[in-house]
Amino acid sequence: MTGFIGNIGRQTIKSVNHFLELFAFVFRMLTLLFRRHKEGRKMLYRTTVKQIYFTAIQALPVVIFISLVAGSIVIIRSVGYSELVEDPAVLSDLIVFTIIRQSGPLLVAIIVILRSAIAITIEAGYMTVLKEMDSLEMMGIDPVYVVCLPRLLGITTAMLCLFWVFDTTAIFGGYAIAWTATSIPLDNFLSGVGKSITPSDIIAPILKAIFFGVIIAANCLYRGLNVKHAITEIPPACSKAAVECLLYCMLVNILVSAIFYL
Amino acid sequence: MELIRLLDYSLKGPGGGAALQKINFSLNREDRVSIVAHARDDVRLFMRGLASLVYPTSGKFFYQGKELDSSDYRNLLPYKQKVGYIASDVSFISNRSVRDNLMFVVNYFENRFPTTPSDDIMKLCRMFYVDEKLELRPTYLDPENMRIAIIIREICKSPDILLIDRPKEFLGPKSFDTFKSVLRVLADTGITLVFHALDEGFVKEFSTREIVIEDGKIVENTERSA
Repeated sequence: MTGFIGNIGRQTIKSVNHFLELFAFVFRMLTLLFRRHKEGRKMLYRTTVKQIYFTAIQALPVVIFISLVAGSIVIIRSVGYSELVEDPAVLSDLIVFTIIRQSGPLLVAIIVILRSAIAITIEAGYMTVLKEMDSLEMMGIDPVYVVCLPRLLGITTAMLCLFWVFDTTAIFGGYAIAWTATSIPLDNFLSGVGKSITPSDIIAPILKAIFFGVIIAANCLYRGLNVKHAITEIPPACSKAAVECLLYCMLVNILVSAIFYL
Repeated sequence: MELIRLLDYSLKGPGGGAALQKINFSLNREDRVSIVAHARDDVRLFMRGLASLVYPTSGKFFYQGKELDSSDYRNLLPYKQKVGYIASDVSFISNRSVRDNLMFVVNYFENRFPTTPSDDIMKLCRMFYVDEKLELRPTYLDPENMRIAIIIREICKSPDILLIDRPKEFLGPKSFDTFKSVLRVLADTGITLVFHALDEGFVKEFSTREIVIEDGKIVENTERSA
């Protein structure tokens, strides 16, 4: 019994430590951002742009495809039930709720986790194991500034862009597919969706994108930088990072939705 | 002028045990110190300690009379920038070309990008025959060329102190003579050296002082006669 309680205690302390370290790491990166370093700005800018390219531009085909599939399914299914519903605004609300508020952010987060988060964990991991971080320090350069901060900025910016792309493509593209591929009535569909979108539907996704970007970048870098001794530590770190990112993003998604919509 | 002073400086070994205990050591500008030790790990740890890549468990580290604060790695960055570290546990940034790696410090601190290597860097590259490999990623270089490039990067930092661990084994015999000729020039300009070498000729030529580390302590510290 004592061992069992002790185990719970140790796990709790470990989890609390993990969160505290994660917050400290995010704080550390944000202070670097606002300290306005004179040195290394061009390097920071270049690496950030590269990260945006890798995370946002290269992911566009996948995001567009998934948003079209998700958008058209939701629209076709919802509009298909239009005869059962008296008020057509309910259907528009349902579409906005499903695409913009809930599934959109999570699907984009999943794509970014699959594509970029794991890549960042691997990169940070091998840079630590191969002593590249030590080499940066020996040049008098803070690795957090040249390696971590650009990833944080790049992924967060990319998340914002991908959210916008996903929502726009899902609504307009889904509408176009439903209009061309089916004969279900789509009268006043776009104006109905437009009326259902509230200011919260613009602010909440922006907040979610920022939080998701910070969570994914910080957590993956943290896991990668904690790889110390061997390349074989990198796969478990990736696995942990991906699962944690998904869980934290789901929690934040629920939390932000609850604040704005309940 | 005293560059480095270690006072009762202790470092943990890789396994966690006490490896270097209460070391007292001072290094003056233009000193060229050779390290002799029975345990290879002691030399490596001492070098890493001097490069501030490992943090002390106790003791003080003074650089130019000021105590280094190792409670946060950021406090050590200005010191590290002044130290050239040539050892098997340093590497290149693998997702950048050799040129970017060589120019990393300049690009960062002078906020320029991209930059062309200076004449000094190009001269060293030509001496070591790596001038045509500047656009390659480090993984495309053979290990010897990679180490040569690391040496060029460390020398081009214009360090106050150069730490070198087993140069002949690090470089291979082919480039070792070229390295010695570069080092001669640096020695003439008054660079401070701390090194561990198995090559007797190298030790005789470059050291002015010898320290012996045994059981984690400096047991001998003798001036070498010319």
